Amino acid sequence: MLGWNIFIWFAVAASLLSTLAAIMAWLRDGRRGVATALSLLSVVVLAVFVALLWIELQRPPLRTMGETRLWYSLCLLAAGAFTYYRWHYRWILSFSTLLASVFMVINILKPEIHDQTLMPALQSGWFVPHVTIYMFSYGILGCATLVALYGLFRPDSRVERASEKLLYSGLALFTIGMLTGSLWAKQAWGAYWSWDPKEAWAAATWGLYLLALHIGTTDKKSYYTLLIVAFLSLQMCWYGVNMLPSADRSIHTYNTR
Amino acid sequence: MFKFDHRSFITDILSVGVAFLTTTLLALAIGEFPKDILSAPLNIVVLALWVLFMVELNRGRLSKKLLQYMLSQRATRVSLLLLVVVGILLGTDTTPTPSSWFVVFSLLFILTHLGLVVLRGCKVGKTLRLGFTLNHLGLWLAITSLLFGAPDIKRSRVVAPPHRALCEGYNMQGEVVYLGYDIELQGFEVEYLSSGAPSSFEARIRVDDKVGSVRVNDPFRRSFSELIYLVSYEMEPEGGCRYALFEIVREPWYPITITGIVMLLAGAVLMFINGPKGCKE
Repeated sequence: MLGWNIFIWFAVAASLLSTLAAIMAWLRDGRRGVATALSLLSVVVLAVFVALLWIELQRPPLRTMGETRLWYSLCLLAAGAFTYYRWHYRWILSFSTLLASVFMVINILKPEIHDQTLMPALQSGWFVPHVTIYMFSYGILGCATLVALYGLFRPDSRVERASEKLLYSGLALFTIGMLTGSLWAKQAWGAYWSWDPKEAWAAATWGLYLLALHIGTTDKKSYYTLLIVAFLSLQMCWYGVNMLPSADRSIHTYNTR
Repeated sequence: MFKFDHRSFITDILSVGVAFLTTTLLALAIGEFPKDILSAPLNIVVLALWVLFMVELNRGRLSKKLLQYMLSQRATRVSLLLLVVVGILLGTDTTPTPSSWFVVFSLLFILTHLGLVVLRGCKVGKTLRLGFTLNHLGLWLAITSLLFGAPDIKRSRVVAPPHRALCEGYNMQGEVVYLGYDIELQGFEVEYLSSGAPSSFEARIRVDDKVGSVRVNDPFRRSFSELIYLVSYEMEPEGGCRYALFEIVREPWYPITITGIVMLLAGAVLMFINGPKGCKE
Protein backbone atom coordinates (compact mmCIF):
# COMPACT_ATOMS: atom_id res chain seq x y z
CA MET A 1 0.00 0.00 0.00
CA LEU A 2 1.44 3.35 -1.10
CA GLY A 3 0.39 5.23 2.06
CA TRP A 4 2.37 3.22 4.55
CA ASN A 5 5.23 2.51 2.12
CA ILE A 6 6.17 6.19 2.05
CA PHE A 7 5.61 6.71 5.80
CA ILE A 8 9.30 6.21 6.62
CA TRP A 9 10.25 9.35 4.62
CA PHE A 10 7.66 11.50 6.36
CA ALA A 11 8.60 10.02 9.75
CA VAL A 12 12.31 10.73 9.18
CA ALA A 13 11.57 14.28 7.94
CA ALA A 14 9.22 15.04 10.86
CA SER A 15 11.68 13.60 13.41
CA LEU A 16 14.63 15.52 11.92
CA LEU A 17 12.72 18.81 11.86
CA SER A 18 11.50 18.27 15.41
CA THR A 19 15.02 17.32 16.59
CA LEU A 20 16.41 20.48 14.95
CA ALA A 21 13.68 22.48 16.70
CA ALA A 22 14.64 20.86 20.02
CA ILE A 23 18.33 21.77 19.45
CA MET A 24 17.37 25.35 18.53
CA ALA A 25 15.27 25.55 21.68
CA TRP A 26 18.32 24.65 23.80
CA LEU A 27 20.46 27.32 22.14
CA ARG A 28 20.35 30.79 23.60
CA ASP A 29 20.47 34.04 21.56
CA GLY A 30 16.88 34.39 20.46
CA ARG A 31 16.34 31.21 18.42
CA ARG A 32 12.85 30.79 19.80
CA GLY A 33 11.16 31.80 16.55
CA VAL A 34 13.22 29.32 14.50
CA ALA A 35 12.51 26.51 17.00
CA THR A 36 8.78 27.25 16.89
CA ALA A 37 8.76 27.37 13.08
CA LEU A 38 10.69 24.08 12.78
CA SER A 39 8.44 22.31 15.29
CA LEU A 40 5.35 23.55 13.44
CA LEU A 41 6.88 22.35 10.15
CA SER A 42 7.36 18.86 11.64
CA VAL A 43 3.66 18.87 12.56
CA VAL A 44 2.74 19.91 9.01
CA VAL A 45 4.91 17.14 7.49
CA LEU A 46 3.20 14.45 9.57
CA ALA A 47 -0.23 16.01 8.96
CA VAL A 48 0.41 15.81 5.20
CA PHE A 49 1.12 12.08 5.56
CA VAL A 50 -2.10 11.62 7.57
CA ALA A 51 -4.03 13.40 4.79
CA LEU A 52 -2.39 11.24 2.08
CA LEU A 53 -3.11 8.07 4.05
CA TRP A 54 -6.72 9.21 4.53
CA ILE A 55 -7.10 9.65 0.75
CA GLU A 56 -5.34 6.33 0.03
CA LEU A 57 -7.47 4.33 2.48
CA GLN A 58 -10.69 6.16 1.51
CA ARG A 59 -11.61 6.33 5.19
CA PRO A 60 -10.34 8.21 8.26
CA PRO A 61 -7.09 6.52 9.39
CA LEU A 62 -8.34 6.01 12.93
CA ARG A 63 -9.21 2.37 13.16
CA THR A 64 -6.13 0.26 13.90
CA MET A 65 -3.70 0.62 16.78
CA GLY A 66 -1.02 1.60 14.22
CA GLU A 67 -3.22 4.39 12.91
CA THR A 68 -4.04 5.72 16.39
CA ARG A 69 -0.28 5.69 17.16
CA LEU A 70 0.20 7.83 14.07
CA TRP A 71 -2.33 10.35 15.41
CA TYR A 72 -0.69 10.18 18.82
CA SER A 73 2.70 11.09 17.27
CA LEU A 74 1.05 13.98 15.42
CA CYS A 75 -0.82 15.23 18.49
CA LEU A 76 2.30 14.92 20.68
CA LEU A 77 4.34 17.02 18.23
CA ALA A 78 1.49 19.55 18.03
CA ALA A 79 1.08 19.68 21.83
CA GLY A 80 4.88 20.03 22.26
CA ALA A 81 5.01 22.85 19.68
CA PHE A 82 2.07 24.62 21.31
CA THR A 83 3.54 24.26 24.83
CA TYR A 84 6.90 25.59 23.63
CA TYR A 85 5.28 28.49 21.77
CA ARG A 86 3.07 29.38 24.76
CA TRP A 87 5.39 28.81 27.75
CA HIS A 88 8.87 28.60 26.17
CA TYR A 89 10.10 25.46 27.95
CA ARG A 90 13.34 24.49 26.25
CA TRP A 91 13.14 20.85 27.23
CA ILE A 92 9.56 20.16 26.10
CA LEU A 93 10.47 19.82 22.42
CA SER A 94 13.16 17.22 23.27
CA PHE A 95 10.66 15.15 25.22
CA SER A 96 7.83 15.42 22.70
CA THR A 97 10.26 14.61 19.82
CA LEU A 98 11.57 11.55 21.66
CA LEU A 99 8.11 10.22 22.52
CA ALA A 100 6.62 10.93 19.08
CA SER A 101 9.66 9.31 17.41
CA VAL A 102 9.23 6.17 19.53
CA PHE A 103 5.65 5.80 18.26
CA MET A 104 6.71 6.48 14.67
CA VAL A 105 9.45 3.83 14.91
CA ILE A 106 6.92 1.34 16.30
CA ASN A 107 4.69 2.13 13.32
CA ILE A 108 7.54 1.58 10.87
CA LEU A 109 8.32 -1.79 12.44
CA LYS A 110 4.68 -2.84 12.83
CA PRO A 111 2.23 -0.82 10.74
CA GLU A 112 -0.85 -2.97 11.53
CA ILE A 113 -2.77 -2.24 8.37
CA HIS A 114 -6.14 -3.77 7.69
CA ASP A 115 -8.73 -3.59 4.91
CA GLN A 116 -9.56 -0.32 3.22
CA THR A 117 -13.14 0.08 4.37
CA LEU A 118 -14.33 0.79 7.87
CA MET A 119 -16.33 -2.04 9.37
CA PRO A 120 -20.03 -1.15 9.70
CA ALA A 121 -19.73 -0.65 13.50
CA LEU A 122 -17.27 2.22 12.92
CA GLN A 123 -19.24 3.93 10.16
CA SER A 124 -20.55 6.83 12.23
CA GLY A 125 -20.37 10.60 12.27
CA TRP A 126 -19.10 10.35 15.86
CA PHE A 127 -16.03 8.30 14.88
CA VAL A 128 -13.63 11.05 13.78
CA PRO A 129 -14.43 13.63 16.51
CA HIS A 130 -14.43 10.97 19.26
CA VAL A 131 -11.05 9.45 18.35
CA THR A 132 -9.21 12.63 17.33
CA ILE A 133 -10.30 14.50 20.47
CA TYR A 134 -9.12 11.54 22.55
CA MET A 135 -5.79 11.39 20.68
CA PHE A 136 -5.24 15.10 21.21
CA SER A 137 -6.04 14.79 24.91
CA TYR A 138 -3.60 11.84 25.16
CA GLY A 139 -0.93 14.04 23.55
CA ILE A 140 -1.51 16.93 25.96
CA LEU A 141 -1.74 14.64 29.00
CA GLY A 142 1.48 12.95 27.78
CA CYS A 143 3.13 16.38 27.86
CA ALA A 144 1.63 17.00 31.33
CA THR A 145 3.27 13.76 32.48
CA LEU A 146 6.66 14.84 31.10
CA VAL A 147 6.27 18.18 32.90
CA ALA A 148 5.31 16.30 36.09
CA LEU A 149 8.41 14.07 35.82
CA TYR A 150 10.55 17.20 35.42
CA GLY A 151 8.73 18.92 38.28
CA LEU A 152 9.32 16.01 40.65
CA PHE A 153 13.08 16.61 40.45
CA ARG A 154 13.28 20.33 39.65
CA PRO A 155 10.17 21.99 41.03
CA ASP A 156 9.58 25.65 40.26
CA SER A 157 6.54 27.86 39.83
CA ARG A 158 6.73 27.92 36.00
CA VAL A 159 6.70 24.11 35.82
CA GLU A 160 3.77 24.14 38.23
CA ARG A 161 1.79 26.58 36.10
CA ALA A 162 2.56 24.68 32.90
CA SER A 163 1.48 21.35 34.39
CA GLU A 164 -1.77 22.91 35.61
CA LYS A 165 -2.55 24.41 32.22
CA LEU A 166 -1.77 21.14 30.44
CA LEU A 167 -3.85 19.21 32.98
CA TYR A 168 -6.88 21.49 32.57
CA SER A 169 -6.80 21.48 28.76
CA GLY A 170 -5.98 17.74 28.52
CA LEU A 171 -8.68 16.80 31.02
CA ALA A 172 -11.24 19.03 29.28
CA LEU A 173 -10.54 17.25 25.97
CA PHE A 174 -10.56 13.84 27.69
CA THR A 175 -14.00 14.70 29.11
CA ILE A 176 -15.27 15.78 25.68
CA GLY A 177 -13.87 12.54 24.18
CA MET A 178 -15.65 10.48 26.83
CA LEU A 179 -18.95 12.32 26.34
CA THR A 180 -18.88 12.10 22.52
CA GLY A 181 -18.17 8.38 23.07
CA SER A 182 -21.24 8.05 25.29
CA LEU A 183 -23.43 9.82 22.69
CA TRP A 184 -22.06 7.46 20.02
CA ALA A 185 -22.68 4.45 22.30
CA LYS A 186 -26.34 5.47 22.57
CA GLN A 187 -26.58 5.60 18.76
CA ALA A 188 -24.81 2.25 18.36
CA TRP A 189 -25.88 0.11 21.31
CA GLY A 190 -28.74 1.95 22.98
CA ALA A 191 -26.88 2.78 26.21
CA TYR A 192 -24.85 5.85 27.08
CA TRP A 193 -22.72 4.01 29.60
CA SER A 194 -22.50 0.27 30.17
CA TRP A 195 -19.31 -0.13 32.27
CA ASP A 196 -17.57 -1.93 29.42
CA PRO A 197 -13.90 -2.54 30.49
CA LYS A 198 -12.68 0.37 28.34
CA GLU A 199 -15.38 2.66 29.73
CA ALA A 200 -14.55 1.53 33.27
CA TRP A 201 -10.84 2.32 32.79
CA ALA A 202 -11.79 5.67 31.25
CA ALA A 203 -13.82 6.41 34.40
CA ALA A 204 -10.86 5.42 36.63
CA THR A 205 -8.49 7.62 34.58
CA TRP A 206 -10.94 10.53 34.66
CA GLY A 207 -11.25 10.13 38.44
CA LEU A 208 -7.45 10.19 38.88
CA TYR A 209 -7.03 13.34 36.77
CA LEU A 210 -9.92 14.99 38.64
CA LEU A 211 -8.22 14.04 41.90
CA ALA A 212 -5.00 15.71 40.73
CA LEU A 213 -7.02 18.77 39.65
CA HIS A 214 -8.80 19.03 43.02
CA ILE A 215 -5.69 18.38 45.12
CA GLY A 216 -3.81 20.99 43.07
CA THR A 217 -0.24 22.06 43.58
CA THR A 218 -0.41 22.65 47.33
CA ASP A 219 1.52 19.39 47.75
CA LYS A 220 3.68 19.28 44.66
CA LYS A 221 5.07 15.78 45.08
CA SER A 222 1.64 14.20 45.49
CA TYR A 223 0.27 16.28 42.63
CA TYR A 224 3.03 15.30 40.20
CA THR A 225 2.88 11.65 41.35
CA LEU A 226 -0.88 11.61 40.73
CA LEU A 227 -0.36 12.98 37.22
CA ILE A 228 2.08 10.13 36.49
CA VAL A 229 -0.23 7.47 38.00
CA ALA A 230 -3.16 8.88 36.01
CA PHE A 231 -1.12 8.63 32.82
CA LEU A 232 -0.38 4.96 33.58
CA SER A 233 -4.12 4.43 34.00
CA LEU A 234 -4.58 6.19 30.65
CA GLN A 235 -2.29 3.60 29.03
CA MET A 236 -4.52 0.87 30.51
CA CYS A 237 -7.57 2.61 29.07
CA TRP A 238 -5.96 3.09 25.66
CA TYR A 239 -4.40 -0.32 24.95
CA GLY A 240 -3.57 -2.10 28.24
CA VAL A 241 -7.20 -3.16 28.68
CA ASN A 242 -6.91 -5.29 25.51
CA MET A 243 -4.39 -7.51 27.33
CA LEU A 244 -6.64 -8.16 30.34
CA PRO A 245 -8.95 -11.20 30.57
CA SER A 246 -11.85 -8.74 30.89
CA ALA A 247 -11.20 -7.67 27.26
CA ASP A 248 -13.15 -10.76 26.17
CA ARG A 249 -16.39 -9.04 27.12
CA SER A 250 -15.39 -5.65 25.69
CA ILE A 251 -17.28 -4.25 22.72
CA HIS A 252 -14.48 -1.78 22.00
CA THR A 253 -11.83 -4.19 20.65
CA TYR A 254 -12.59 -3.77 16.93
CA ASN A 255 -9.09 -4.29 15.61
CA THR A 256 -8.35 -7.48 17.53
CA ARG A 257 -11.43 -9.36 16.35
CA MET B 1 -8.47 23.60 45.55
CA PHE B 2 -7.48 22.74 49.10
CA LYS B 3 -4.64 22.15 51.54
CA PHE B 4 -3.31 18.68 51.16
CA ASP B 5 -2.26 16.41 53.99
CA HIS B 6 -0.67 13.00 53.39
CA ARG B 7 -2.12 11.43 56.54
CA SER B 8 -5.66 12.48 55.73
CA PHE B 9 -5.20 11.09 52.22
CA ILE B 10 -4.21 7.72 53.68
CA THR B 11 -7.31 7.90 55.89
CA ASP B 12 -9.38 8.56 52.74
CA ILE B 13 -7.94 5.44 51.09
CA LEU B 14 -8.70 3.45 54.26
CA SER B 15 -12.29 4.80 54.25
CA VAL B 16 -12.76 3.53 50.70
CA GLY B 17 -11.32 0.16 51.77
CA VAL B 18 -13.76 -0.03 54.70
CA ALA B 19 -16.66 0.85 52.37
CA PHE B 20 -15.58 -1.90 49.99
CA LEU B 21 -15.29 -4.51 52.75
CA THR B 22 -18.62 -3.54 54.34
CA THR B 23 -20.52 -3.66 51.05
CA THR B 24 -18.85 -6.98 50.14
CA LEU B 25 -19.95 -8.45 53.48
CA LEU B 26 -23.44 -7.05 52.87
CA ALA B 27 -23.54 -8.76 49.45
CA LEU B 28 -22.42 -12.04 51.03
CA ALA B 29 -25.10 -11.76 53.70
CA ILE B 30 -28.15 -10.70 51.67
CA GLY B 31 -27.09 -11.06 48.02
CA GLU B 32 -26.52 -8.44 45.35
CA PHE B 33 -28.37 -5.12 45.23
CA PRO B 34 -31.98 -5.75 44.11
CA LYS B 35 -31.96 -3.19 41.30
CA ASP B 36 -35.13 -4.47 39.57
CA ILE B 37 -37.43 -3.64 42.50
CA LEU B 38 -36.34 -0.02 42.14
CA SER B 39 -38.19 0.57 38.87
CA ALA B 40 -40.84 3.33 38.53
CA PRO B 41 -42.53 4.62 40.60
CA LEU B 42 -40.39 3.45 43.54
CA ASN B 43 -37.16 4.92 42.09
CA ILE B 44 -38.85 8.32 41.66
CA VAL B 45 -40.06 8.25 45.28
CA VAL B 46 -36.59 7.25 46.53
CA LEU B 47 -34.94 9.97 44.41
CA ALA B 48 -37.42 12.60 45.65
CA LEU B 49 -36.71 11.59 49.27
CA TRP B 50 -32.96 11.66 48.55
CA VAL B 51 -33.14 15.18 47.08
CA LEU B 52 -35.29 16.30 50.05
CA PHE B 53 -32.69 14.82 52.40
CA MET B 54 -29.92 16.79 50.66
CA VAL B 55 -31.94 20.04 50.72
CA GLU B 56 -32.73 19.64 54.42
CA LEU B 57 -29.11 18.71 55.16
CA ASN B 58 -27.93 21.77 53.25
CA ARG B 59 -30.31 23.99 55.26
CA GLY B 60 -28.68 22.73 58.43
CA ARG B 61 -31.86 21.07 59.74
CA LEU B 62 -30.20 17.65 60.01
CA SER B 63 -26.76 16.67 61.29
CA LYS B 64 -24.36 19.59 60.97
CA LYS B 65 -21.39 17.26 61.31
CA LEU B 66 -22.59 15.19 58.37
CA LEU B 67 -23.13 18.37 56.32
CA GLN B 68 -19.68 19.61 57.22
CA TYR B 69 -18.13 16.30 56.16
CA MET B 70 -20.13 15.95 52.93
CA LEU B 71 -19.10 19.48 51.87
CA SER B 72 -15.46 18.96 52.85
CA GLN B 73 -12.43 18.49 50.63
CA ARG B 74 -12.10 15.06 52.16
CA ALA B 75 -15.52 14.08 50.74
CA THR B 76 -14.33 15.24 47.29
CA ARG B 77 -11.23 13.04 47.59
CA VAL B 78 -13.24 10.05 48.84
CA SER B 79 -15.79 10.53 46.00
CA LEU B 80 -13.05 10.53 43.38
CA LEU B 81 -11.22 7.60 45.00
CA LEU B 82 -14.51 5.65 44.96
CA LEU B 83 -14.89 6.42 41.25
CA VAL B 84 -11.32 5.23 40.59
CA VAL B 85 -11.84 1.99 42.54
CA VAL B 86 -15.19 1.31 40.83
CA GLY B 87 -13.53 1.88 37.44
CA ILE B 88 -10.61 -0.44 38.19
CA LEU B 89 -12.89 -3.16 39.63
CA LEU B 90 -15.30 -3.11 36.69
CA GLY B 91 -12.44 -2.73 34.21
CA THR B 92 -10.62 -5.84 35.38
CA ASP B 93 -13.51 -8.09 36.39
CA THR B 94 -14.49 -10.72 33.83
CA THR B 95 -18.00 -11.01 35.31
CA PRO B 96 -18.72 -7.46 36.45
CA THR B 97 -21.73 -6.43 38.51
CA PRO B 98 -22.37 -2.74 37.84
CA SER B 99 -25.30 -2.94 40.26
CA SER B 100 -23.30 -4.37 43.18
CA TRP B 101 -23.71 -2.81 46.62
CA PHE B 102 -20.26 -1.20 46.36
CA VAL B 103 -21.00 0.45 43.01
CA VAL B 104 -24.42 1.64 44.22
CA PHE B 105 -22.93 2.94 47.49
CA SER B 106 -20.13 4.72 45.58
CA LEU B 107 -22.52 6.37 43.13
CA LEU B 108 -24.86 7.43 45.96
CA PHE B 109 -21.94 8.91 47.90
CA ILE B 110 -20.72 10.79 44.81
CA LEU B 111 -24.28 12.00 44.09
CA THR B 112 -24.80 13.24 47.64
CA HIS B 113 -21.49 15.07 47.70
CA LEU B 114 -22.05 16.54 44.21
CA GLY B 115 -25.65 17.51 45.05
CA LEU B 116 -24.59 19.37 48.19
CA VAL B 117 -21.68 21.03 46.38
CA VAL B 118 -24.10 22.21 43.67
CA LEU B 119 -26.61 23.50 46.25
CA ARG B 120 -23.86 25.30 48.12
CA GLY B 121 -21.50 26.39 45.41
CA CYS B 122 -23.33 27.51 42.25
CA LYS B 123 -23.28 31.10 43.37
CA VAL B 124 -20.55 33.18 44.89
CA GLY B 125 -22.32 36.21 46.20
CA LYS B 126 -24.84 36.97 43.46
CA THR B 127 -22.77 35.71 40.54
CA LEU B 128 -23.64 32.40 38.95
CA ARG B 129 -20.46 30.37 38.39
CA LEU B 130 -21.27 29.05 34.93
CA GLY B 131 -18.42 26.56 34.37
CA PHE B 132 -18.69 25.19 37.91
CA THR B 133 -22.48 24.81 37.65
CA LEU B 134 -22.40 23.18 34.21
CA ASN B 135 -19.74 20.65 35.25
CA HIS B 136 -21.11 19.72 38.67
CA LEU B 137 -24.85 19.86 37.95
CA GLY B 138 -24.35 18.15 34.56
CA LEU B 139 -22.44 15.31 36.22
CA TRP B 140 -25.10 15.06 38.95
CA LEU B 141 -27.88 14.74 36.35
CA ALA B 142 -25.93 12.20 34.28
CA ILE B 143 -25.13 9.96 37.28
CA THR B 144 -28.66 10.31 38.67
CA SER B 145 -30.20 9.06 35.43
CA LEU B 146 -27.54 6.33 35.19
CA LEU B 147 -28.31 5.09 38.70
CA PHE B 148 -32.03 5.76 39.23
CA GLY B 149 -33.08 5.45 35.58
CA ALA B 150 -31.36 2.09 34.91
CA PRO B 151 -34.23 -0.08 36.24
CA ASP B 152 -36.68 1.72 33.91
CA ILE B 153 -34.75 0.93 30.72
CA LYS B 154 -36.69 -1.75 28.85
CA ARG B 155 -35.02 -3.77 26.11
CA SER B 156 -36.85 -6.23 23.90
CA ARG B 157 -35.88 -8.07 20.73
CA VAL B 158 -37.85 -8.88 17.61
CA VAL B 159 -36.85 -11.53 15.08
CA ALA B 160 -38.44 -10.20 11.89
CA PRO B 161 -38.71 -12.26 8.70
CA PRO B 162 -39.46 -10.12 5.61
CA HIS B 163 -42.99 -8.86 4.98
CA ARG B 164 -44.59 -10.10 8.18
CA ALA B 165 -46.08 -7.58 10.60
CA LEU B 166 -45.19 -8.42 14.22
CA CYS B 167 -46.57 -6.96 17.43
CA GLU B 168 -44.68 -9.13 19.94
CA GLY B 169 -41.04 -9.50 20.94
CA TYR B 170 -38.94 -11.03 23.71
CA ASN B 171 -37.40 -9.32 26.71
CA MET B 172 -33.86 -10.11 27.88
CA GLN B 173 -35.20 -12.92 30.10
CA GLY B 174 -36.74 -14.57 27.01
CA GLU B 175 -40.35 -13.77 27.99
CA VAL B 176 -42.85 -12.66 25.36
CA VAL B 177 -43.67 -8.95 25.52
CA TYR B 178 -46.42 -7.05 23.70
CA LEU B 179 -44.98 -4.12 21.75
CA GLY B 180 -48.11 -2.03 21.44
CA TYR B 181 -47.52 -1.42 17.71
CA ASP B 182 -46.70 -3.32 14.48
CA ILE B 183 -43.20 -3.70 13.12
CA GLU B 184 -42.51 -5.11 9.65
CA LEU B 185 -39.26 -5.77 7.75
CA GLN B 186 -39.98 -4.48 4.25
CA GLY B 187 -36.53 -4.94 2.71
CA PHE B 188 -32.88 -5.63 3.45
CA GLU B 189 -29.76 -4.62 1.55
CA VAL B 190 -26.18 -5.75 2.11
CA GLU B 191 -23.02 -4.54 0.34
CA TYR B 192 -19.92 -6.71 0.45
CA LEU B 193 -16.16 -6.12 0.26
CA SER B 194 -14.05 -8.11 -2.19
CA SER B 195 -13.04 -10.24 0.82
CA GLY B 196 -16.68 -11.28 1.25
CA ALA B 197 -17.11 -9.39 4.52
CA PRO B 198 -20.13 -7.04 4.67
CA SER B 199 -19.19 -3.36 4.22
CA SER B 200 -22.66 -2.06 5.07
CA PHE B 201 -26.18 -3.35 5.66
CA GLU B 202 -29.52 -1.63 6.00
CA ALA B 203 -33.06 -2.73 6.87
CA ARG B 204 -36.15 -0.91 5.62
CA ILE B 205 -38.92 -1.15 8.19
CA ARG B 206 -42.49 -0.06 8.79
CA VAL B 207 -43.55 0.79 12.34
CA ASP B 208 -47.33 1.26 12.37
CA ASP B 209 -47.72 3.83 9.58
CA LYS B 210 -44.16 5.21 9.72
CA VAL B 211 -41.60 3.90 7.21
CA GLY B 212 -37.82 4.26 7.64
CA SER B 213 -34.46 2.54 7.58
CA VAL B 214 -32.22 1.09 10.30
CA ARG B 215 -28.45 0.63 10.08
CA VAL B 216 -25.67 0.07 12.57
CA ASN B 217 -25.10 3.43 14.34
CA ASP B 218 -28.34 4.75 12.85
CA PRO B 219 -31.41 3.50 14.77
CA PHE B 220 -35.06 4.19 13.93
CA ARG B 221 -36.64 6.64 16.35
CA ARG B 222 -40.21 5.59 17.14
CA SER B 223 -40.71 8.19 19.87
CA PHE B 224 -38.61 10.62 21.88
CA SER B 225 -37.37 7.93 24.26
CA GLU B 226 -37.80 4.77 22.17
CA LEU B 227 -35.32 3.66 19.52
CA ILE B 228 -35.17 0.55 17.31
CA TYR B 229 -31.70 -0.88 16.60
CA LEU B 230 -30.54 -3.36 13.98
CA VAL B 231 -28.60 -5.98 15.93
CA SER B 232 -28.08 -8.84 13.47
CA TYR B 233 -29.40 -10.55 10.36
CA GLU B 234 -29.21 -13.82 8.47
CA MET B 235 -29.19 -14.24 4.69
CA GLU B 236 -30.61 -17.07 2.61
CA PRO B 237 -28.01 -19.06 0.58
CA GLU B 238 -29.52 -17.63 -2.62
CA GLY B 239 -29.08 -14.06 -1.34
CA GLY B 240 -32.41 -12.94 0.18
CA CYS B 241 -32.77 -11.98 3.82
CA ARG B 242 -34.05 -14.76 6.10
CA TYR B 243 -34.60 -12.45 9.08
CA ALA B 244 -33.35 -9.30 10.76
CA LEU B 245 -32.96 -9.02 14.52
CA PHE B 246 -34.09 -5.71 16.04
CA GLU B 247 -33.61 -4.46 19.57
CA ILE B 248 -36.12 -1.97 20.94
CA VAL B 249 -34.82 0.26 23.73
CA ARG B 250 -37.20 2.34 25.84
CA GLU B 251 -35.40 4.82 28.07
CA PRO B 252 -37.81 7.15 29.87
CA TRP B 253 -34.96 9.02 31.63
CA TYR B 254 -33.45 9.98 28.25
CA PRO B 255 -34.15 13.77 28.59
CA ILE B 256 -32.37 13.93 31.96
CA THR B 257 -29.36 11.98 30.69
CA ILE B 258 -28.98 14.08 27.56
CA THR B 259 -29.37 17.32 29.55
CA GLY B 260 -26.60 16.19 31.92
CA ILE B 261 -24.29 15.21 29.06
CA VAL B 262 -24.86 18.47 27.15
CA MET B 263 -24.20 20.50 30.33
CA LEU B 264 -21.01 18.53 30.99
CA LEU B 265 -19.89 19.04 27.38
CA ALA B 266 -20.44 22.79 27.67
CA GLY B 267 -18.59 22.77 31.02
CA ALA B 268 -15.63 20.92 29.48
CA VAL B 269 -15.46 23.39 26.59
CA LEU B 270 -15.43 26.28 29.09
CA MET B 271 -12.74 24.50 31.10
CA PHE B 272 -10.61 24.17 27.95
CA ILE B 273 -11.08 27.85 27.08
CA ASN B 274 -10.63 29.28 30.58
CA GLY B 275 -7.97 26.94 31.95
CA PRO B 276 -6.99 26.84 35.64
CA LYS B 277 -7.50 30.57 36.13
CA GLY B 278 -11.16 30.43 35.08
CA CYS B 279 -11.85 27.40 37.26
CA LYS B 280 -10.16 28.79 40.37
CA GLU B 281 -12.03 32.08 40.04
